[in-house]
Amino acid sequence: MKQKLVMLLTCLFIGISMVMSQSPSKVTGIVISEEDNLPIVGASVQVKGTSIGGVTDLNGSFTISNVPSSAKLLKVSFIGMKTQEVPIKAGKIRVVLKTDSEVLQEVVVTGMQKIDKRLFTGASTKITGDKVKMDGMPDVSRALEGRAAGVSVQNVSGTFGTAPKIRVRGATSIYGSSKPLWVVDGVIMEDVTEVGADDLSSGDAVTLISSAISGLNADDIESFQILKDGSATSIYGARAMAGVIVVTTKKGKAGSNKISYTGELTMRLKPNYRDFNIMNSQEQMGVYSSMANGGYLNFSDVFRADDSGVYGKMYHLINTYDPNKGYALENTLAARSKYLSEAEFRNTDWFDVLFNNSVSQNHAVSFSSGTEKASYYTSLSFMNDPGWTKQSSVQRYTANINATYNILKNLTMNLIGNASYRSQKAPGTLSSNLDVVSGEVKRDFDINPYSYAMNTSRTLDPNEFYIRNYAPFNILNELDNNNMKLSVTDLKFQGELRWKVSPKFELATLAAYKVSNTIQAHSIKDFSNQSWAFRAMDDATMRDANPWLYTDPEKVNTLPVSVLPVGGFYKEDKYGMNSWDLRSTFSYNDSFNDDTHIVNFLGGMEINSTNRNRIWFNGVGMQYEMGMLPAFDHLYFKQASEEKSQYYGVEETRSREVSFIGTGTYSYKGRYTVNGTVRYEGSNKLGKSQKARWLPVWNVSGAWNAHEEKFFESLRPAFSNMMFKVSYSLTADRGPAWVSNSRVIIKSYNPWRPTSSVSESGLIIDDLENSELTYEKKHELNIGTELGFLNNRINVAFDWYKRNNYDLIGLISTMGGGGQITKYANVANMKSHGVELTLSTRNIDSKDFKWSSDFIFSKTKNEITSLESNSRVIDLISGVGYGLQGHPVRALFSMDFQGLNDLGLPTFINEEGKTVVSDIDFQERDIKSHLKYEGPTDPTLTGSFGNIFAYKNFKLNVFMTYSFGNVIRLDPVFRSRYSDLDAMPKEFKNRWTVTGDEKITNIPVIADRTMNHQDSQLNRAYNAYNYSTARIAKGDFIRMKEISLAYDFPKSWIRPLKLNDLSLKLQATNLFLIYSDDKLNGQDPEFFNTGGVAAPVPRQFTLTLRLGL
Amino acid sequence: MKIINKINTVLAFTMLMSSCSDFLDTLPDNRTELNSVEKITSLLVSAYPTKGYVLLTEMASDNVMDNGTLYSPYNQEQDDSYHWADIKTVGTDSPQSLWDALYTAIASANHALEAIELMGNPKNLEAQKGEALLCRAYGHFVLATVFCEAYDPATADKKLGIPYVSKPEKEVKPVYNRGTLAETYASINADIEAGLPLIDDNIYRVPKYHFNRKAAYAFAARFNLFYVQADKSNYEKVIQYANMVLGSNPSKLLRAWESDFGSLSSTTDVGNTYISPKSPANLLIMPIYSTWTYVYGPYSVGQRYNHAKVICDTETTRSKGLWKSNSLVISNTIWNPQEKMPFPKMISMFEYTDKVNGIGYVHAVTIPFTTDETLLCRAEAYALKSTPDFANAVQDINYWIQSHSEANANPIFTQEQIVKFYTDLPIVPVPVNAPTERGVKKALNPLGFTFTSPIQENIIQCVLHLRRIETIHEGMRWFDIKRYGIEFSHNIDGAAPVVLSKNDPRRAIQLPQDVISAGLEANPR
Repeated sequence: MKQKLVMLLTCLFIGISMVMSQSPSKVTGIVISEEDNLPIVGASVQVKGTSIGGVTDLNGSFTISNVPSSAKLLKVSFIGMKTQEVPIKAGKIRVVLKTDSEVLQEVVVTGMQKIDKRLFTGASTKITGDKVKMDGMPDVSRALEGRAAGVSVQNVSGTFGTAPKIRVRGATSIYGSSKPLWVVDGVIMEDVTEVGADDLSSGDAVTLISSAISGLNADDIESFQILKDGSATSIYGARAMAGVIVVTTKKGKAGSNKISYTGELTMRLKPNYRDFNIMNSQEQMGVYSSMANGGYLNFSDVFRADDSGVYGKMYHLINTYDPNKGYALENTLAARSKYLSEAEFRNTDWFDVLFNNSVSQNHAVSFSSGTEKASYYTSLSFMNDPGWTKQSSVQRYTANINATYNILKNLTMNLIGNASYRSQKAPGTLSSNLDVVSGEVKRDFDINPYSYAMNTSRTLDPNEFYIRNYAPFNILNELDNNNMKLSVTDLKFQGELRWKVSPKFELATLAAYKVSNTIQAHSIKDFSNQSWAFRAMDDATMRDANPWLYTDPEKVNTLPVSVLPVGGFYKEDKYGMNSWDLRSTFSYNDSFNDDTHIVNFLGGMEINSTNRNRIWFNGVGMQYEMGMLPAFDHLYFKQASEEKSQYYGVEETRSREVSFIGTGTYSYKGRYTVNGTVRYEGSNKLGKSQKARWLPVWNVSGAWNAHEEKFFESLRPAFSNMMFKVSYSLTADRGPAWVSNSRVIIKSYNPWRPTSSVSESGLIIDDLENSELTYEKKHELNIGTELGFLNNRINVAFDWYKRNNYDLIGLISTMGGGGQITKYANVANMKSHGVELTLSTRNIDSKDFKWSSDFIFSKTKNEITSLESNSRVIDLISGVGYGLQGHPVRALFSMDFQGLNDLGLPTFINEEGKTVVSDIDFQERDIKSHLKYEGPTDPTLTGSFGNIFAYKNFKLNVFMTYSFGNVIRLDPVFRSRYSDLDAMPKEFKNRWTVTGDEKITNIPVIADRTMNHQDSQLNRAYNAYNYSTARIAKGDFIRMKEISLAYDFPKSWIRPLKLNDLSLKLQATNLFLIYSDDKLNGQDPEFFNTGGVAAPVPRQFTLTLRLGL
Repeated sequence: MKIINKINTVLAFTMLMSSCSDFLDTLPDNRTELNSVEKITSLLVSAYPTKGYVLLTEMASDNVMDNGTLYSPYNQEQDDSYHWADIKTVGTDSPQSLWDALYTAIASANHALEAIELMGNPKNLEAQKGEALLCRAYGHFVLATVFCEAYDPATADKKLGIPYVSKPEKEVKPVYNRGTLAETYASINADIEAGLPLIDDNIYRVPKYHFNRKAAYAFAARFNLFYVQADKSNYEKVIQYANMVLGSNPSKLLRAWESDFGSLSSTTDVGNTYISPKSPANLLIMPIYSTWTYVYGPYSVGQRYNHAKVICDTETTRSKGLWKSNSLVISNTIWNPQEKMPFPKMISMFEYTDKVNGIGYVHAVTIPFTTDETLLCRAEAYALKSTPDFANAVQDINYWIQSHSEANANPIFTQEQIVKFYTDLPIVPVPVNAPTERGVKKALNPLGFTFTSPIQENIIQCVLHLRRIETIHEGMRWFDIKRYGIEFSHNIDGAAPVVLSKNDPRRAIQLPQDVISAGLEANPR
């Protein structure tokens, strides 16, 4: 660049000297960039065929005198722009330079180096930021859905801050997370806390900080580069087994001055009962009354039940007497019927009560500027989301600065600073637990608005208090009094120094420091149901039944008492992460004999250190109503110590990595390229053993650029591009985070003791030494081709790969002499294969009308080839699937439903091969042949179909995504007993009611009291039904992901306003499902309704305004 | 110049690599390393098993019977144990859990021992070494008594033992050998003998939850009682070790039944008193995860096979003895229901993980060693040693009866009275076909010796009767059944009773299924 500048200056001087000597013929003009319509400073303008020329001034203008009359053309060039030749004519010449996007396309950014695409042998996809950006989606990772072949993005929850489940070429591990590595501007983005792949859909509060890049402003992103095969990822070595997503942020450009503003207004639609099949209150009351006939919902049961709704309220009203007004409800048939018929017509719309149509806003301003000496890009953004549901608002602020300074001709410094702060509210939630006996995942005190609306009877009055956990409960009151506030701060400081020792030899050093702090404060106020539950003891029966009360074991004849006589709880979780990276590389690029032999080499060393901590604290007795005064009862702590629970904790993890990298490429004339990469990496993750910690990974690959061959010329223009490549590699990962026992793991613990007087702390073997522990590894063969037809009007990229994953962590049975019969060790293997196809066409390319299409298709299949099976029946049939040899990594099985019996009860084939109702052992481990294999829970076919139509200044984008091949467990709605709080799906209307119905319906009877009495295990039958072949749906869907219409205002209109750009865009996101399995009945196939903080991705409309000055 | 450069390069590289090594030595989380006296002491907190054999062995013993198909078993383990079937489930009370828990405790002991050795066996770690050796011996002892047959010096070198693990396990799947029963017991003995002199109560924060000196000697006494030698020299050791626990006059050290339980009216209070570290009778207290408290306790679950009233009245806590009818405190401290008749020495203690749904862990607090039981070990040894000392045996029997009776209920019994009482009792037939045939006297086929006189045999009948009452609900009756080759039957509702003959291989409970599939030799069936 510098050299060119010098040359230009020389030209300029020559030009000036010529002015002096010859009789002039003057040419004037202006050079403008097409991209932003701004004048280009310092563009070179040269009279073709001569050395006469000049550079543009600060206004982009140029004047060239003494142009010889023979001259016909001017050659205008600028870095990063396509060189143009324009005819010389009289008057002011206006030259519009186009961005040399093809030149940019030709570079593959691996985060560590930039490689000429012709010399790149790996499988990767590049997507530019503005193409992928989905307005109204502040988390950029979601926008990748359907954008790159081989990358599947599953929005298991749409709540801001939660990460989608991203898979690059499918799962790579059985117990590990299979999460791709995020690299932003060359620096690996670490997760603040390690949330496993299955935990992403758990709905636990920690998922709110599971996205490593939620602090990234989408407008700041220049491009994504997704590295898929081992050839592309081996440079990241032992962490890149599951793929790498390289994000490059925007930089300032020499010669351009720009201010941009983007404003987005997004409105989300409330979900509607029309889309789901939930009973209205009339149908629901019908079911309740049949339950009442079946012996349920009677006074003695419901009056003191831990949870009750309409009926419970009725009995409480009957039991309430006021000396002035009499009974709140007369205990007469008429009064009761009136009360119940009110409920029948209530039809509460919980979605309307708990959701908002509020408008969320996102504003981003950026400046970018640059000269040959220095350039910068800086931006600020503000996102304000008042919340789709109650108590779910988010504010996010980001700042970003990226400056480059050319200190010397051959010494460049790049400084990047990112800051983001997020303040978020969420409904109060505790972690979910798995009840291994019944197999249900449960969460105490769940008040997630979405799952509440889906699961709560529409007969309830939203302004009335009902009973939950023996205490008064009203969802609106609870959301107000029981919520979480999150504040998340992310900072990144980064500097890079590049020194071109010689034109062929460059040294570079990059240093980065990242800080992330999250405080998650959960306020459970005095008047929340969760606090009241600790005090609910209206009568002796309730007092003995309420598990939240405490009976002192050390006192003879004591009654249960409350350990929370006043106040509520203040719970705080702090997650902190500090990490630094240091990387030094040297690179050598050379070519001989006029580019006949091209040689690239990069070598270097990288050091990374990450410290994470989690500090949590449970404050008891906080009196929110008394000016935040804690008033705790000592019994709380006595109980806690006896129950082995803690009231605060500090957890720390430290990760250290050192690696040495070497990669070399040789190319003959750019036609034949071979590449090899070796990375030798050490980590402390596997423990202190010297043997386990080091691992070399490598790759060999080659490419053939057929279009560079002489013979190819005869094929043009029908064929315009043809490239073949092949790679074979070894990459690795450390396996699941909890397997790190290369040396024995000894941790402290408090053994359970009957009373606090005999308690003591000790050390315990957390995990035995596994001296054979090693990384999970993967061999991958990738064969790919890129084809261009008709002058690249049609582009095809195709990749085929086969993977052999070995040394995966799996379970193994041992003789147990060390105390662990079952161990996790590197004993499992799996294989996978897949194909990826990207087809891009420019169907119509006329001056006013343009139509282009992108079709993306990927298919991935995996199979566990060796794994000892230790799974129980319950593991195989519950939601997320389980690994079993001969099946995909996450395979789902079902109980074999055999129809209803003549009592309306479901029947199944049990482990003994008999057809039974409830004689089912969910814990069985040996016999699983009675289960029916349903399919994988991860989709096998994913992709998208996008069309962009441009007519003059209008642009219409229609983007569809699809996903096929997986199965989904339907919501487990069936139970052996129901309460008057439960909302039931409309299927219940078709339930078995009289003998003979079993021939026409598969919906089991609502079991009455007698049935439950006769079979105390009846809950197993209903659970088995929830997990049976009758309750499974295909996860296939085609989604209308985006329809948008954009309008660019003509320059002539906006120039008077001093604007360079003005555009408006209206976008509808997530509009509807074009196809999905009917059995889902409105359930989003991507979303896991697990309560907590989970919410589906809403249907939304976004209006975007873009301004450029 | 060039050479210097090379040297510099090499130096730089070496420094780089060594600093890398330090850098990567950073511990990835809050784990710790065994590098101090305190840490080794703390590690031994986990050298005690957290699972027990109670449900397995009590259900296999003659302390329980089938109450009929009207009731259901609490879990598969209860059902299988009663039928002496191989147990394949892996619940809290399964053989698999027990195996894991015992070897886990042994692993803690082995890691402590390895750390002590690495530190050069210093003097200030001798007490820890003693505790670790005792813990290792205890773990293997329990494994051997549960998963092997009883010790008979004549056959012990032909019977299967259990893997004696004396080194920390470091490979994924090492191969272990069961060895012979003789080898297993010899290893246990060696650890006990090496550990006993090193025990020092001063290192314990909560001595009753560790192998304090008395607990260690009580263990040594019981072990030697089980470790029958052809020359009967083991009984001298039993007496010697029991004396270390009991002294010359044990009456102050035994459980004071009348004053402890005479006035209590709730199961919780009885249970809490029974496990109190203040009681001099409790030598070692060991909490375990177990559903046993539900299965045997006063709840309407698991009634199918249990300590029913018939057994209680004829064979155990309310059976007819030397003493005045129903004068033992325990016989008046029985709770309903009739299918279970529990004395609540272990009450269920719940540790919640999820309160709303009542999910969590059930604990039971076991007392593996009490002075009362050690006293009975000594009585047995006095009666069995090469020159029997019946006078002392009778004296110990009387100590037991006095401490277990209501105040001044019973006189001191003479040798003649005792012998006459048990001589006169009929021998319970096998199988039992009617409740009236039940009783406390069963034919004895002792392993490793034969009775030298009817006096000896009847004194032993008495000791076994007392042991049965003493250890009710603790699963230890099963070990006496094995040691004395006692044959008995289990009634089955709707079918003929099943008999456990004296040579039945099922007296050694089958190893966990996963362990067998991993290659360890199974018990013959």
